Amino acid sequence: MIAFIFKRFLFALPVLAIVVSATFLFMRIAPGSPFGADRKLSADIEQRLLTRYRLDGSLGQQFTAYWDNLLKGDLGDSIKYKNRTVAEIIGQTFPKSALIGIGAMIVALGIGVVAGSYAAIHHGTLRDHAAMGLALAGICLPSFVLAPLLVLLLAIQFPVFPVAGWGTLSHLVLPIACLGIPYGAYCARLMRTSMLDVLNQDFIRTARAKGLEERTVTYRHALRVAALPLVNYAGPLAANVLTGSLVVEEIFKIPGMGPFFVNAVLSRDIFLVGGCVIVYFTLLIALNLLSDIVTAMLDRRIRLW
Amino acid sequence: MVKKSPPTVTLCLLILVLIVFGAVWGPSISHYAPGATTGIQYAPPSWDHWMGTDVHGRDVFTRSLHGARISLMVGLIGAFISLTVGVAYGLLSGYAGGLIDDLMMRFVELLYAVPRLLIVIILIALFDERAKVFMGAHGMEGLIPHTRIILLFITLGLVEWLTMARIVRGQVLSLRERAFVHAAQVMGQTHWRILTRHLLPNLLPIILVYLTLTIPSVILVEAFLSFIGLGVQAPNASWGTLLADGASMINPLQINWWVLLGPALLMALTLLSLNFLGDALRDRSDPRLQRGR
Repeated sequence: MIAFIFKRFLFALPVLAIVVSATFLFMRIAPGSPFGADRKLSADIEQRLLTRYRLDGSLGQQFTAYWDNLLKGDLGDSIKYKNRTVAEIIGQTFPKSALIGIGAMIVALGIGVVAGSYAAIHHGTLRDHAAMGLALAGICLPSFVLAPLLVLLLAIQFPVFPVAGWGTLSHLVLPIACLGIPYGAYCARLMRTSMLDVLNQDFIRTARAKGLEERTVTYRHALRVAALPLVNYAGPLAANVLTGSLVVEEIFKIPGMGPFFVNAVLSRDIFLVGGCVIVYFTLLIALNLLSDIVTAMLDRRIRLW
Repeated sequence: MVKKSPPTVTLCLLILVLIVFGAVWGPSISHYAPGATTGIQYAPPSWDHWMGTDVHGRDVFTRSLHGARISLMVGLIGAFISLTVGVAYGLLSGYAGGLIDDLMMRFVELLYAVPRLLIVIILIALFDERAKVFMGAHGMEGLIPHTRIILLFITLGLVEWLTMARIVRGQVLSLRERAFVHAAQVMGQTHWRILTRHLLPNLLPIILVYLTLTIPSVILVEAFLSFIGLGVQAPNASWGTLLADGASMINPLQINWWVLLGPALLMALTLLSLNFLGDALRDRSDPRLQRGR
């Protein structure tokens, strides 16, 4: 297993390197300077700024300078947010984004397993149709529509939760719900299909024939295997939650990474974009690896190592 | 044996026809021009304004119908581009088989794990200016105000093709072992003819199903990008920009929920109908799911 993880790690490194390099090069080729977006700078000052950030010289020189810094573990200084290093900004904002993201993933997978199994067990009945109708509606209400609606209902009409902000536990509820529910709906549909498939398989018939209770059959035997597609989906889900968090953090005014990333892209803050891309990609690669390992643990027929 | 369509499918079709009709002719039938200001700021829904008015007194219903034009267009064209890429990729991968197939599918799996929207965001932000310059230099000055929309077509088309490629490849893998394909190969037909004349027609049903499912996801992504300000720009408006307007209207100081409700309702109905239709079509074409019914 260690060898497997190591192999995946070796495979992931070049991917990360390519993505980071491409981001840097694209941002440098594209028109628009990271400096002087607000007002035109004199050539002299611009030149000094370029030297200060090691963005002078040919593209090749800039590129090697950037990698030189990266390999020393230095993500560089933010250009838009003066006097703050990229590492500092990410260090302050990432934990908040991570908290929201992990919460949303738990909500999504939780809704998925519960609603999906429920619909599959009551297959073809009114309960199935009701659950799946709700799931379909959930898919069609993206986070950025759900968020203002929930704010209107649960923060303004019935002030249970705060409208926006950060600090207490109750600040977390609405953002996590808005981010998690739409993907929960998708997970539920995935889970239902897979559960239906599993419930028709031979080993379930055997379990029933042994005289096991229906409850044991469903929760002990079927659920384990039926949850596999959901575990596989965890990687893409993480990517979706990540992009979803860009709007949710903006709507709820959460000081997370999302708004920083969007602003950095718009203002060509090349080092901050690079830093965010590194964090996002490392996270996703790690989550995909984790989901592969959990898959192998749930289904003994799959051998990864 | 042709099964009768369930009533919900008919209903979905009806809703879609109505929305398309409304998007194409609605703004010209309505009493109000989409951009016309009436002086009545934030009027709640009434007989005069079915979904109320916004900050400039514009009729929300008319604006939502007008926004549907761009949203639907981006959805259709984006889905079509992604379809072309996905089908071509899947066909090639499945037909080539062996090592090429292996490599191509690993690449798809790799892309699945990448947050594609982040890349779209970076691409749109970076190439906005460049695309404008390019169009100006190539005699397409008339298109410059629509640069963002064109960029959306291309970038969304380029990121939404993965599922399509996988499904087409799976189908091709089984199709290419069938007798009629072997016969064609034995008769000495070129690969190109086998791909286009023999394989592609057999793939059409499944392509159609996934087209219905890709359109809503492209519409959603467009709305997301417009919402964060990277999509459609004024004076154009799509559901995404209208939703962004509407969302900013809900805060403790003022609650003008109808500005949000109009576009949200139209978009949700469209997505719901398309998804439902796609699901129904897929269930019908997949015999595995017929079991136990």
